[in-house]
Amino acid sequence: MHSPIHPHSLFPDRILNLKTLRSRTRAQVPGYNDLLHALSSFGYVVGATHQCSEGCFDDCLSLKQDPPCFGHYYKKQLSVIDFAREQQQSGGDDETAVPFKMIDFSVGVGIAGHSMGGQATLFSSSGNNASDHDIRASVLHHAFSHTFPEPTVPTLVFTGEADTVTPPDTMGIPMHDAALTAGVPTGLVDKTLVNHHEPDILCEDRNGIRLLAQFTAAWFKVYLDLTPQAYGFDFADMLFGTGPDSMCHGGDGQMTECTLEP
Amino acid sequence: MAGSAVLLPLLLPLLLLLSHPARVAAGPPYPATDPTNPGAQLGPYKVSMETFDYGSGSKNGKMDRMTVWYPSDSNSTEAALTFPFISYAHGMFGGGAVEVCTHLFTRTLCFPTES
Repeated sequence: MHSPIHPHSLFPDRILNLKTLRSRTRAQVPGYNDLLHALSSFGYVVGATHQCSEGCFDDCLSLKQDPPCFGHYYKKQLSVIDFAREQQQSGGDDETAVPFKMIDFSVGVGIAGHSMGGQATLFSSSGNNASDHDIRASVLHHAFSHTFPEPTVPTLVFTGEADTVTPPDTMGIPMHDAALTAGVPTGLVDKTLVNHHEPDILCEDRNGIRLLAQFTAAWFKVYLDLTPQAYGFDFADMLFGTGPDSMCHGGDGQMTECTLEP
Repeated sequence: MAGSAVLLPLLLPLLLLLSHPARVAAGPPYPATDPTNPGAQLGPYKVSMETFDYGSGSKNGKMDRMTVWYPSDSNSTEAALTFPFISYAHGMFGGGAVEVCTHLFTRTLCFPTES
C-alpha cells in the first residue's frame, strides 16, 4: 500500500515516517555489499536503489536490443540523489537521518553503476541530467548499452576481456569513445581476466572487488572531492602514475588496454 | 523461524537456478584470483549500512527501498565530518537472484531475520 504523493514532492510522506519505515537488514542490494562497503570506507556516503531489479515496470521504456523496461532506470538513480537531498533538508534531528546529514553536497555528487546500472549511469551523466543534479564525476562498471550518449562529466569506464555480456568492443570502448568525443576527462580500463561480474556477488575474487572499489574511489577523489591526496593515499598517482601499484601498470591486474585522458 | 529453516533449502536451489543464466552468460569460469593482483587497500573509515523505505508510489512497493553505506567511526572528534554522496545503480537482478525472491514470495519469507 502506497502513501499519497505530495504535489510538490517527488516522494510521499516518508520523511515523517522514516523511523517507522526504516528496516534494518543486511540482505539488501546483496550483490554489491563488498564493493559499496569498500567504496564508502574511503569517505563516501553511497546510496543504492533497489528499484528496477528486473526492469522499471512502473515507468517502462524499452530500448532497442536492451532488456525490457530499463530505458528510464537512470531516473531512479537520479531520484536517489533527490531523496538524499530531501532527507538532509527535512530530516530534522531524527537519528534515522544520520547518513544523510553527513553528506556534503557542496562538492557535487558522484554516480556509478554496473551493467544496466552502468547504462543508467551513462544516461545520468549525459544531456542536462548531470548539471540538473550537480553530478560531477561518473564511473561505469561493465555497462550494458547499445546507445552511447556523450557524458558531460569525467567518466571512467571499466570493462574486461572475459566479459561476454557487455563485450569491450561493442560496449565499453564505444562508451569511452563517446567520452573522448565529448572532451571530458576519461579512461578505459580493459582487464584481461575479468568477466561481467567483477563488482557483484558472482565474482569469486573478493580482492578484485576491493581493487575495483579502490580505483573507483580514486577517480572520485580526483574529480569529485578534488582531493587527489588524502588519508595518506596519493589517489592521483594510483590512477595516473607509472609505478607498479598504479592502475594501468599492475596495480589492478593484467590489462589488455588501459588508457587515461585526464 | 522453524518455517524458515524448512523453506530456505527449498529457496536456495531456486535462487541458484535463477542466477544460472547469468553464470552461463559470463562465459568460462572466472579465476578465483588474478595472480598479478596486489592486495587491495581499504579507506580509513569503518562503514555502517542502513536500508530505507522511500515508497515512491511505484507499482512494486517491495522494491521502493534504498540501502545507504556510510562512514561510521564513533570518534566524537569526527562527528561533524561530512562526505560526498554517490548514487550507485545495480545491475539486472540487483547483482544476484535474491531480490527476485521478493517478487515471488513475501518479504518475511525471503528475509526471515529482518527485524
